[in-house]
Amino acid sequence: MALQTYQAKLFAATILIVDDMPENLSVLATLLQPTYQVLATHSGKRALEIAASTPMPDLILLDVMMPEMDGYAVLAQLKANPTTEDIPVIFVTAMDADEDERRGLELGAADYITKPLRPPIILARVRTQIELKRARDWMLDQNAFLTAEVARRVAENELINIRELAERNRAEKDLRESEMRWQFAVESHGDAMWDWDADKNELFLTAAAKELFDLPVTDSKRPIADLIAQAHADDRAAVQGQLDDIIVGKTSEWSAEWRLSRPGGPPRWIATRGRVMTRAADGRPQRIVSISHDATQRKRREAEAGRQRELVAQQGRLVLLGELASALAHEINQPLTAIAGFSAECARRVADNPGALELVRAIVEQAIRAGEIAWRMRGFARRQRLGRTALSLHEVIAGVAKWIRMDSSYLDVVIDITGVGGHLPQIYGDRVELEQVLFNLVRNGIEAGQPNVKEQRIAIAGCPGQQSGEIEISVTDWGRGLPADADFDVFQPFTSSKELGLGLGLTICFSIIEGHGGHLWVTPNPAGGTIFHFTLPQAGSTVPPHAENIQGNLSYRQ
Amino acid sequence: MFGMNMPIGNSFMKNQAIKDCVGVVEDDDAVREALRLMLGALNMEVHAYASADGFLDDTDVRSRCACLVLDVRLPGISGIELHKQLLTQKRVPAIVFITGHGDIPMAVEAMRNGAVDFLQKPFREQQLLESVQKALVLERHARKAREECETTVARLACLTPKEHEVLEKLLVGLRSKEVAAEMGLATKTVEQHRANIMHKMHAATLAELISMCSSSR
Repeated sequence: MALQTYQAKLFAATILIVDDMPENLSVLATLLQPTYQVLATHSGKRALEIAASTPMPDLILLDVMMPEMDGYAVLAQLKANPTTEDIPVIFVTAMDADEDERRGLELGAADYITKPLRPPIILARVRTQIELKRARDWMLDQNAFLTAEVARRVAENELINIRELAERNRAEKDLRESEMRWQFAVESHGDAMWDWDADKNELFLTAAAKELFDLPVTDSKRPIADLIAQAHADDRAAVQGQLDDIIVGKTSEWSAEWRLSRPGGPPRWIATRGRVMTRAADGRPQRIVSISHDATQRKRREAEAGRQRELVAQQGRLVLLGELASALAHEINQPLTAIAGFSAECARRVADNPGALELVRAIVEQAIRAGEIAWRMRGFARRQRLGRTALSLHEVIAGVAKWIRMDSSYLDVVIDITGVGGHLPQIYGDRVELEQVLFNLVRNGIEAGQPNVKEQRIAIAGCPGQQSGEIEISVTDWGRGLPADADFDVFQPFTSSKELGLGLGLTICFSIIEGHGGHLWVTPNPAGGTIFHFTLPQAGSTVPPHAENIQGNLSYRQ
Repeated sequence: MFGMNMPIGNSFMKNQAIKDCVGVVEDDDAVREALRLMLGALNMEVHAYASADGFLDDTDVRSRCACLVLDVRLPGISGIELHKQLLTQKRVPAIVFITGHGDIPMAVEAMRNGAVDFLQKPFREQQLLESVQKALVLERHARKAREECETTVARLACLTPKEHEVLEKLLVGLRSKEVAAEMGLATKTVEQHRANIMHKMHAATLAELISMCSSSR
């Protein structure tokens, strides 16, 4: 507010007149009222009350000589009250004495007027005091404004600081909450998460992670070495190596399966996936987050499936060896038979030459011996195979379908076994050999698949055979189909439509099925592709139970 | 049993006096030749074929072949199938199977169907000859029984209806007196019929007659 405005307000100034003589009050009021708003009282006590109430007087004209409370006492009281101390006071006194004047000024009076009252002097002195007061007020006001302004700005700054602080707090809280939510989600998923601050080497683990890694649940943070120490001795170096690869920046993703050493128990398989979340400016990873889960069950299932596959593969090798030995035996036995036969005739013709006769007889014996070796090899491969039992074909087929589904090289293959009901009668046979047949037929179907087909389908179905006591199983594919060549017999050894095929797979299937008293044949799939069919006799029907005994007789009848 | 239309005392007797007729079915040329040589050493009439069809088409040999050495696996009709086919016919030669495979179920089936032996290749000449000799002996017995049976059947055909009636009763164990009573004949008449029967059947005793007739039924 500008000073002029204060001057303008001069005329609105309020003046309090205090005098015990009514005629004096009357004179002063008459004199001042045209210019000022005038308040009047004849008591000092009352004057103090008025001075402290609103509107506060801008100037007080105070008579010194008053009964009860004189002007000095009133002035002292006004100056003692912070509300009123700044109100200028002009003493009005009849006494013309230096002493009074000095005393009044010492007490803080702004001026004094002596009686008899002379109106021009009164007006001039009052006006001066009012102006001074106004100026002082403005100054004070300005000061207060500035002070207030400073306070306001300081407050604003503080507010900004507080707001920033609050925001930071909120962000941290959000982060904490989101971490908690994440952790909650992770924990409720049963997975275990850890978060490693590489700079501080602080590993934070969720409760699930601590449980998974067999670490005490009490500590919240620990060095990464504690975790690596939990790894099985055989895997520890590998785990450390993978972590090192991340640290040196070879990779930012981590995927590993490792064993956790557990005292007094089998190791626990852990599958861990991790990644670098933040990196320092130099590329060094600062924070690595990882999720792990217990893979023991899956590993056990995989190992079981692997063992089964290995068993099937081993049986497959034995069957293959048997077939090779059999094919070899047949091919070699023919010339050996001729050698033995021709030598016998030769022996007759050199009967009169004992030396030659002996040699020719030796030729016969060696031919027979060569034949025995071939047979024994075949017999050995045969005897290694497992025994026959009553089997549910549904179980055998479901088992094979499961392994193929678990085999990662057949991820895009759909094995449909809905056509195999649990109602099929049991058959009597060698589970592993029949699995071998199904595996070979299904694999054959997969390998006959059309290129560029996204999802290959192989359907296995079962039904009663055309002859009573027989079950017929079919394996259908929608692949390239068989060569149209009429002479192409897929069941003959060393016949293959595959470039790298040995041509024994289907021969083996044929041999196994025939060995079970069944038949294996192939028809084209009307929808394109191939259908392999085989029959097996039901359990309790016509399987010669003494077949293996006869094998023994045949092999060693010398 | 065999029908009455078979010739009696035919060329079989004469041929047997000379040589046994043995057939060989084997697709491997060298093996077939070796078999031919080995069997030929036994003074046999040997006929070798590369396939089942070759044997089946040779009706002359088929009709008098006493023994057949048969490979199990053959192109076209297999040895096992040929055996089965022969089983449906009147005369079946004694079969000796030879195989280069361990065809267990086939061996079982073949032995059940009456094959004499099942030889694994390679074999010694001695094994083959023993098996073939065994087959020929079995075949000779079978032939003898067959011929005796055929003779009996032919002789039975010479009996009158009355003699047939008397024979039936004698065969169930009735005495002449009982037969006479049943037929309302004099015992002396029955005994005359009986003497005629013994003569026509070339039987020396009643026991021989009974044995002769029971084996032809």
